[in-house]
Amino acid sequence: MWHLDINTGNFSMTEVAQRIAAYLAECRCPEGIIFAIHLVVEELLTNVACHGHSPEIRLGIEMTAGHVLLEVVDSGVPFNPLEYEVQGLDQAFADREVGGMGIYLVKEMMDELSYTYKDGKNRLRAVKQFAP
Amino acid sequence: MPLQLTYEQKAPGVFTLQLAGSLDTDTYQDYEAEVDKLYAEFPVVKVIILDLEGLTYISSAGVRVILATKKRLKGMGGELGILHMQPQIEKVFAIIKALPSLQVYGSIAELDAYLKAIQKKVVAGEM
Repeated sequence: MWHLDINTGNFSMTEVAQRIAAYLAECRCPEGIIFAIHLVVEELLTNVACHGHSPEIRLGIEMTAGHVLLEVVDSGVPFNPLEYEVQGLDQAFADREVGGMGIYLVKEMMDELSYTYKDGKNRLRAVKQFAP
Repeated sequence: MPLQLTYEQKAPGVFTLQLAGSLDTDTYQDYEAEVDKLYAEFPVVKVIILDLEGLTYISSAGVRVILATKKRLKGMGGELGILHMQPQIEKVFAIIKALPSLQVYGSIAELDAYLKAIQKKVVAGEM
């Protein structure tokens, strides 16, 4: 698995995205999938950086034929995004409150999500499938 | 990727704002600053058309600031329009079910027809 350690106090999303895109492009990952992974990583990192109080996040990516596995591990506040319900999506765009959109995007963009909390660590695994 | 922003007045109170690059956690403040600059420069802002032809990426941070612009315009009886939305950007808006409440134009011709109608409303004092 390819890893990237991110300091939540000081990171550039642009740089993280470039490193992920470079790795996935090397693995001949389709562009649409790179877009999805970029989006999901941004939403998850932003979430941990803003609410998780974890000094570091370890990102892992593994690509096999037709399948990208993304793993996000942090030592912050226990938070299971799978249990998070997004409110207000039935309201008109301009009337909505702003929270929760990122997690909703993650759930919709990925095909499988699993979460565990063990030894003080949140571990979120997300799988994106595509036609190889 | 950075975000390039350029605005242009098309008619009194009617503006296009071109976005190119990424609208995300790293760049949403640049977008906000540009919109603030537009409001500071022009006393009347009724319609902003976001031209997204060059926008290659958007995250929820980007969607949020577009939402804020729509709210700001709506609060003053104005409107936000979107032009040239790329498929991957449209998909993000579709997932969060934002498309039904956005005015999306596929072409300049479609937008021009809309702007003419808007001009009539502005002249007639309806906006």
